[in-house]
Amino acid sequence: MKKQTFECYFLLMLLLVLAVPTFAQQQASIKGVVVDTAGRQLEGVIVTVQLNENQIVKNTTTDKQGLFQVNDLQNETSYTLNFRLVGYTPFTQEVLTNRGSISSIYIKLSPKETVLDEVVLIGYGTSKRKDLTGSVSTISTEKLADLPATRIDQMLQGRAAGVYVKSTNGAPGSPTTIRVRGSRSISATNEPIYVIDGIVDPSGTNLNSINPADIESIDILKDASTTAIYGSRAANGVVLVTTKKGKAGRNEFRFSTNQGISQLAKRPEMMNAREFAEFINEARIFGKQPALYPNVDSVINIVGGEGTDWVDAVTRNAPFSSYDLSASGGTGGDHGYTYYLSGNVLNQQGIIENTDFKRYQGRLNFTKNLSSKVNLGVNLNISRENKKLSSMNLGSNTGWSSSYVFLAPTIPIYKADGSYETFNPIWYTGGHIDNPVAIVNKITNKQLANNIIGNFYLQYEPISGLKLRSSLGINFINQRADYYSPSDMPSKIYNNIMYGSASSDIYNTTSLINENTANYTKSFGDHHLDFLLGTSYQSRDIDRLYASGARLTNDITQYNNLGITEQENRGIASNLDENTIISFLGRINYDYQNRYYFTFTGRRDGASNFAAGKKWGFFPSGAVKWRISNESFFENAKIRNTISDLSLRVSYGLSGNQGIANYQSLASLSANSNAYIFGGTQALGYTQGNVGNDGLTWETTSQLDAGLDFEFFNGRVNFTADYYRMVSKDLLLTVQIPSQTGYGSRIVNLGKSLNEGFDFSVNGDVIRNRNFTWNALINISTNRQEVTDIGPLTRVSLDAGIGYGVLTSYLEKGVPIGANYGVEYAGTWKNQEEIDAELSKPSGERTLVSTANLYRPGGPRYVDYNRDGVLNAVDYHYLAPANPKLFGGFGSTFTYKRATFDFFFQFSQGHKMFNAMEFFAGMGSSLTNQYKYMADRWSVNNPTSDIPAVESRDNIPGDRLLHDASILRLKSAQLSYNLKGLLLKELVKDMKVFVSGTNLFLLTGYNGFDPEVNSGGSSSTIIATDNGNYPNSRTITFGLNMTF
Amino acid sequence: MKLYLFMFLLAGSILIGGCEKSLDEDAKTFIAPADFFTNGEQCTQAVNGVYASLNTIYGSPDFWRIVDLGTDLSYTEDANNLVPHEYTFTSGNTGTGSVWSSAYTAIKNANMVIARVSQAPIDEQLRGRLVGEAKFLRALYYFILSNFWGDVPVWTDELDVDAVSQLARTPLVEVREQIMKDLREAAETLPLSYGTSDVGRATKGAALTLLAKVYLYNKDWTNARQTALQVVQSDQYSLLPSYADVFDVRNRFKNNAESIFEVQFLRDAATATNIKTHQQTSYYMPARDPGLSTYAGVDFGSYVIDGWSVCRPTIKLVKMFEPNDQRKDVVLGYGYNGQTFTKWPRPDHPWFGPKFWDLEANAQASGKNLYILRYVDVLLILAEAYNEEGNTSESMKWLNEVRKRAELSELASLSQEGLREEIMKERAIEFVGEFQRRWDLVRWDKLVDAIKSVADDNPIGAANIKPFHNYYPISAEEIIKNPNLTQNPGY
Repeated sequence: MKKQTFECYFLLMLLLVLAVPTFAQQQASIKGVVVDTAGRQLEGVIVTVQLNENQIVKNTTTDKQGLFQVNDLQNETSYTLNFRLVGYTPFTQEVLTNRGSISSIYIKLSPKETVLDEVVLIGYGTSKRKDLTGSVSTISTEKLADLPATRIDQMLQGRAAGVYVKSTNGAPGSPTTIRVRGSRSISATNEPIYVIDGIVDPSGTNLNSINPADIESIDILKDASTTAIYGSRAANGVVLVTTKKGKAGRNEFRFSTNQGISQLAKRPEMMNAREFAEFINEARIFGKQPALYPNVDSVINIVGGEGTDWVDAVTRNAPFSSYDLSASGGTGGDHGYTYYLSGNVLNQQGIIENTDFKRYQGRLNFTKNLSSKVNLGVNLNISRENKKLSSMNLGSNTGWSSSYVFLAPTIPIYKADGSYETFNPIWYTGGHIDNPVAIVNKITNKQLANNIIGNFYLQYEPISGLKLRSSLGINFINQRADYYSPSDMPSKIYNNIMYGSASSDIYNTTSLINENTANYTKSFGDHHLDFLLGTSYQSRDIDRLYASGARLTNDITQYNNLGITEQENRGIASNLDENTIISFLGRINYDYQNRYYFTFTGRRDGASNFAAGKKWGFFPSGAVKWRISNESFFENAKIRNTISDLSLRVSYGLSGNQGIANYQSLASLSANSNAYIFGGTQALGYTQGNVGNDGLTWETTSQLDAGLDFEFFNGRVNFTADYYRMVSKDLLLTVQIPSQTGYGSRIVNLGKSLNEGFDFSVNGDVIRNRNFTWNALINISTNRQEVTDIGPLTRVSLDAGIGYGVLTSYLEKGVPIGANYGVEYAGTWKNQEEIDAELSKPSGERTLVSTANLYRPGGPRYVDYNRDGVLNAVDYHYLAPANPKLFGGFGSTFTYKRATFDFFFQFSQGHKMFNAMEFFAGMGSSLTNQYKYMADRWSVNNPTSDIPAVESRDNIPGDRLLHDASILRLKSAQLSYNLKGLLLKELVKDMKVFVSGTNLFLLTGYNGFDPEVNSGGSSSTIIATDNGNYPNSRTITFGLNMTF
Repeated sequence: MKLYLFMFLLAGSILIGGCEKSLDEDAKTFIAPADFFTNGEQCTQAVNGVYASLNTIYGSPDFWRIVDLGTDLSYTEDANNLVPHEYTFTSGNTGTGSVWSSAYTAIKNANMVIARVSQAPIDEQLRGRLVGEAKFLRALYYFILSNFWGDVPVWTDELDVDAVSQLARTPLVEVREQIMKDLREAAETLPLSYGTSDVGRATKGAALTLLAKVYLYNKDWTNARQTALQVVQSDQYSLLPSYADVFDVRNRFKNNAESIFEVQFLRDAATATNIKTHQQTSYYMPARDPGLSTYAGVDFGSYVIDGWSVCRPTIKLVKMFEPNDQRKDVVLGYGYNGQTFTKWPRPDHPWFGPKFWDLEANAQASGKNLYILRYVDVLLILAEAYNEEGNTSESMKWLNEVRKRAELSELASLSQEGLREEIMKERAIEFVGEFQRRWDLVRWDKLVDAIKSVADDNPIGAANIKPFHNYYPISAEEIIKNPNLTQNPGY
């Protein structure tokens, strides 16, 4: 409390006391003063005086000094006084009047809980948002709770400023890839780390085992000041996940269910049977071969005009169902306890036949006070996940011979005798395959994981303000992947080699983490101090055992008895991977009068996976914050009524990245049991494996962050803006080295990258009436990234896995990581004269090129970037970034009486991606079906078309195949109705029904399934490649939510 | 309070101190080179690893398309193989695929083995043999590189990444000096033959034959002749009576008396197990009829081999055969089992014949061994060396050995020039598809003429071919990675 305020208050009270005798009247009066928690007098407080519940006797408001007086009241009567003021919690006081005199009361109103009061998780502690010196995005799961999400990362999409979350594919239970403020690393990971209930997720991003319904909140640490406490692994941001805890005195039992359906949201438009038959005939005749379908109508008679729709044949409307039960509660006091118990059963069928994700999961969160000084707790999550995966080729460039996108619509699914059709007439001269329907129906490909995540802690508070805490976290995962291809696969029948083949791959992960922290908080008048010191030890072992057996003569035992295969048909592998990280950490938080804040953190980390002598790194950071709104000049300013809180933050610090595989610094030999054949039998051979690197060490990122936090109208609207600039150096880079060394690449510390951008977020109640509220939120982020140094190399190619030598990504100084490269498409050659004229130009004056065999009318041509008349990788140049320049989300929640409608849009803009399918299906290749637009290809009869003619496949990354990947997606929408008190009043405390949907609407110019996929998975550098992905689905569910 | 804090930190530091050692990486899944090479068994296994690259190189279409396509003996219409065939390769698209990197991977492994086995505490005789095997292989890999690119970087010590990354190209003369040095040393320590379980390893005969060949490439006729004679005098080799048996379609005569060194492949047809296979059969088989198990209209029985017919004989090759040449129906395919094909790649063109077929293959997988050095090569080296030395009668003697097996008449009187033509023709017929033709044409300086002579079958190649095409371009990517590499002229 400020001295001045205290004096004012004292004077006021004195005045009141002195005033008492002067009002000696017959009637009774009540007078008083209303102040806030800081003792400031509050003007305009509505004071309502009630005699009983319904009868309002008087109304008044407080004056500038916060004073009010109500006269003419009955003597010796009990009145109820209500005090209300916008932004403050209403307060009620019973007052008994004195006979003929004035009763004096002193009322203190506390401000309503606002965003600034919410508790934010920071590493190894918490902070109120208003005291936070760093940049943290908090996602309340309240609005997300009833959406049909299977993983928490899926719920983050678009929700947090600066956090770009992208699905890698649409298979049930598949992970997303997350970039907090862009990509910086090239060969090490760019994914953030997850900390679940204070335990650094010991096994990486294994989020399938966590039930989103158990999540209380998610905080994402973005700047160096907050992440540095996690040191070596924090450069990519930290996602802190808090699960629900029981609340003492509030025993609840909750049940909810979600039932719905998923369907294919979008698909590429391919040729139908008739268009294809005409196309393939033209291509064959072009290749000086007879037409494949001399009589198009005869094939149409078999398969119909549209022909076989392979995508349709293997996709379905897939049910989604989930059930959650939870119980929570506890008792308070020195020996009290709280508990939260939950169970979840999830069954998400995939939109591709025979794929699914099932989870059976339970959680126990328990806390217990042993005395006023000692408490302990345990968080335990047990889950079992079953996944059925698709073995079918999902449209990858290299899978053209049998993928469901590329197969010709003229091929029937079944032969006349009901067996699967195997013949693919356009697999070169024709060959036999397993068609996608046969594969999804017959091949078993499943994954199973048992996952236990637990942590136990003991906390001791020997003296007030000092907390000693020790925790032990565990994570045990048993994973098993089984595969079986039965003996009666159609191609095996055809080739008369009817044997089954099976494999099992078993992984065991054991992680342990022990952390010990001491935390001391103390206030000395206006000085507030908070110290933290700690140690951390973490180990992770992964062992693997793999076995396979081929030539199985039965289809019964599958992978369950691999021993019944002959010796030479067995395969076996095993390995062990061990990693240890040791850390010391510390933090000091200091503030003066809640006006000036300082934070210093440091963490010293040692990681086993670096070279001897290079294992340790130190990651310090500092931050300052000026809470301008607490300055006296601001308090008295008029603007105080609009801007209720204003802070300026600046932080700078270092964080690290050690996300590379183990043993990379050690030289090794690699063994091959089938190295060569001597005397007609296999011989074991060793070759040189990894090249040693004695210098391998941390990658370090320094980050500057400057932020502004505004709160308007006492918390009704919040606005946060941040600028960041990150420089990463000593990048762990897999450098291409000259092949004359016998190696193609090696990992070294080399290079620098830069990331900068702005994060904005606004959240507020636009309308706040008794019956109707409208809450809106929006977040927008920008990101610009650049590789600023890759050592002596001018350009490094990155293989996005498209195949056939197609390279679409390079690293180059001045260009974003993973950027798209290629050449500008310049239409088709219209006639031979045009070609001859171009070819007669001398080198240096050429403008248009093709690959050598495509200098023909209808052939695709490109801008000759270096004007040498030759089209090769030297012409490839930077075309567009793969990461969005601008991304974010916006949404609104409308509440009218009992109904709530919520929607959320997610957007990204400014990035592009190659559609790998088009290297075949958009270039007139006679080996695959084509995009529908190829019907308008160049031909003798269509000589003005700029779409390439038949047989124009050149494997050149032309920008015709590079598409804008910008999206606007209606990520979720939900309509719910609260039935509280309407049904089962006695039994049910709270009840809600809802209908919700995800991925309901997508606006994009992309012509594949969905631009929000990445064949590179969570690859550091390949962020935007569509090369055969499980398509994204749209899900609609109905749900019920009851609290007892 | 201080006491608590102190004790707490003390406990923590004890814990951490004890664990500090656990930051040392103690890999249990793999072996470091320093822990290996301690006994004969391990040294042998490391040498086995150097052999593995033979399968990688010789088993790859990348290799056979750049040595056998783009010559006067075969042509292709396959889109994926047109670049070397039509002479459209550039520094950006060299058409040479993985050959450069595979050969250097092999050399890297050979260098380590030679350095480490030389120091290993093992039996002296075994060490001599193992180092000899590795040196023979290293010589072979450099031979391949130098034949395609001319000057290539040469290094022979265990890898120092930084130094080797900056190596410039060594002049061809010096590359061949290194090859010959390795082969001479290998010939001294390698045995003449092996016991059954080691069949397939490099022998003294293999080292001498390759050495003779390098002398021949160097036009060092005397040394070529003397070295080849050593092979003859070793009395280890003889010609099989029939050319067809050398390339038996059922792989019955692997590592036969005529074979000096061949790449071992293995497929167990009885159990349908592909152990080490290549696809050369599919590249040379007549085209399989769409949807059927017939090839060019002829039923091959129950075989299910993919026939892509990527490589097809030129009419020039067809016309090279003298009447009655027993090799004609082995090299060229006119039918199978008494039935004549009903379809042909081009009018009057046959397919490639049983020399390249493997009826034990399945789909694309063939376990047929591929010859690198045959005894015929020794005979033809002698014929060529004698002839170039001016001794035509001695030359004809050796050439006639080869002709006799083909049931051709013996040549009697020919001029040196006429004999040279005969030897060149003989090599073409005898070794077609055996990774020799391009290298022979280049060393004779006849590549351009040869391609122009098959303009009917390869009009684009004939129009494009220039003298600088004798060597392939160094990949632009490699020059970017190592600016000390210079490009071959013309690219």
